[in-house]
Amino acid sequence: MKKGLLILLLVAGTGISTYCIYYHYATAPVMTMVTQLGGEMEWLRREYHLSDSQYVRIQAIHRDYALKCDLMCGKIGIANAHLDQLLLANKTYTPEVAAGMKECMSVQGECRQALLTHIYAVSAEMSPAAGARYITMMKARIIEPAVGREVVTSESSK
Amino acid sequence: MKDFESDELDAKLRAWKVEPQVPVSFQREVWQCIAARQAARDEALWPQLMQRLFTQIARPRYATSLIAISLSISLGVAHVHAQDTKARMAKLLESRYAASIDPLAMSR
Repeated sequence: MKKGLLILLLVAGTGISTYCIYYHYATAPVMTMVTQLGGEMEWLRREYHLSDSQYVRIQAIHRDYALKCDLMCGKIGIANAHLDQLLLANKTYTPEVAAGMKECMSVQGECRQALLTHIYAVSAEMSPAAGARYITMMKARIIEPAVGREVVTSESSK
Repeated sequence: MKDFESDELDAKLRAWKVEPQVPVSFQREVWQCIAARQAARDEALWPQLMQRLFTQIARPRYATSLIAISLSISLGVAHVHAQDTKARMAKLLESRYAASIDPLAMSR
């Protein structure tokens, strides 16, 4: 009876430890990406099977774009704040409000153009198939945010 | 003489009537007795089964099989859970990447 009980405990222990070890090792790479700073770039490398040279070039493009992106964020913030003040100060659709709106839309359009340029630049560094998949993903993610998430699914989440 | 005795005995036997006195609680007691024995047998069934099970488990052949089954189930469940976690984390990283290059998302 005691021996049987010990064997049952051994079976349960084996099952639990196997589960923990397998789960830990299977999810370790993705967990590292999630927790580390800039893990999304590592995700991009794995998701689109980038070679070392492709990854280095894309990182450089990403760094250059990040500077422009910060400037654009500042411009958007200023334009939004200005429009916010105009909307509070005016009770009707005045030429000032129209100008403020136009300014916001202009800055946003500029951002969209820069974003698209960046997306095409990144995809050009990838293999043709990966580049096409990248553009499809970004199109659904950013350019057409109204399109349902189910339209595009990343390879690693399948 | 013997015939006379035999006739007398026959007459007595014919005249003899047995009238059993069954107590009022007889039926109830019988059922109580049956219920008690049934309960005792049921109570003894589980320990017997457990005893038998543990004896069988202790055999190397069964113990090895049980460990193999446990390993397989654990690996299967862990694999399914790990795939699910990886898919969720990949979506999260995809969103993070998209947000990192979208100035409009950043300024919101």
